Amino acid sequence: MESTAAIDRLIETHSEKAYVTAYRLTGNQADACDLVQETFLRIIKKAELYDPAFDFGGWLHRILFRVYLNGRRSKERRREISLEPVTGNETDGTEHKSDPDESPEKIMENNELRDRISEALDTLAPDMRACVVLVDIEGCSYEQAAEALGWPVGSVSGRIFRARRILRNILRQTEGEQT
Amino acid sequence: MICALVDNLFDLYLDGRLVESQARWIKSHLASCPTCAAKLAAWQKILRQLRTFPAQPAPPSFKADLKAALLNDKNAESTTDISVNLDLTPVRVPSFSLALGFLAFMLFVSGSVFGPGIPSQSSSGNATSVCVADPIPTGRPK
Repeated sequence: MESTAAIDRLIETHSEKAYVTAYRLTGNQADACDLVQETFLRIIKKAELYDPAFDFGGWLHRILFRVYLNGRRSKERRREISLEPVTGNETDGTEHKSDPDESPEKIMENNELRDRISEALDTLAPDMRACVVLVDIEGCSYEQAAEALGWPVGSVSGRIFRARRILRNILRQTEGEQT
Repeated sequence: MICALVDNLFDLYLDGRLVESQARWIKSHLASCPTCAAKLAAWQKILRQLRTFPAQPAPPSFKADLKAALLNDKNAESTTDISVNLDLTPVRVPSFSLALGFLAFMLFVSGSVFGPGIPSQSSSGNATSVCVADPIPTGRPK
């Protein structure tokens, strides 16, 4: 009974934030749910390794990224996903939130750019995507990202550099195709 | 040539990871090169979009499904007591291993203090020391 209450507390406190990050990493709802589930199972099994001197959310975040990278490395699910046909708006249920003060044209332009960024992110290798999610989307410093991923800062900055280069090239190309 | 160099430094420039003189140099180049300025503006726009990337809300059944999966796994592994596991206590130092290590160390130290010691540590100074071997064998014909 006590364990059920502990699981409830764990889910209530951390699952939504974990889902947001998982979605940013995987780019689709089904994989994000799987990733969160796998992470929580790992947390329950490895709970005795948690050091209360550190923030629990940070520990969970680190495990989430490790599970993502290990899972991607072993299964190469990314390739399978990119081959799936994308149908209409069902792409991951992406919601476009925008500033109400912006003009409709501006909102549409931003939404299009967001879609193109989202597609470009899907082409990145998992390690690069993890770095972009941490640094460019979640706003972590290189040092914080390195800590979360368990890599040296140089590895993170190298991957960020290459990932941004890829994103820029892809977005430049798609922009050229559109104009 | 200069534009290609500046292009490579955009990221570091925007992240504020360049030294002041480099940042000033890029700033002055951007002021005189509209192509690079346009590229930087486009990249800044993309970075802004990334920073404000919308957070996806979880599906309505997400928490219930997650709970069911976790409980399911718990039932499958009935030998694991989750309530104990979720009591997030600090990792305990294995005191037995420490004691064993200390004992091994003491044995090693006592061996060098009371035992014969290794040959190179012999301080007897006499000619019978194994380190001072007779270079000319005694039974050698002259």
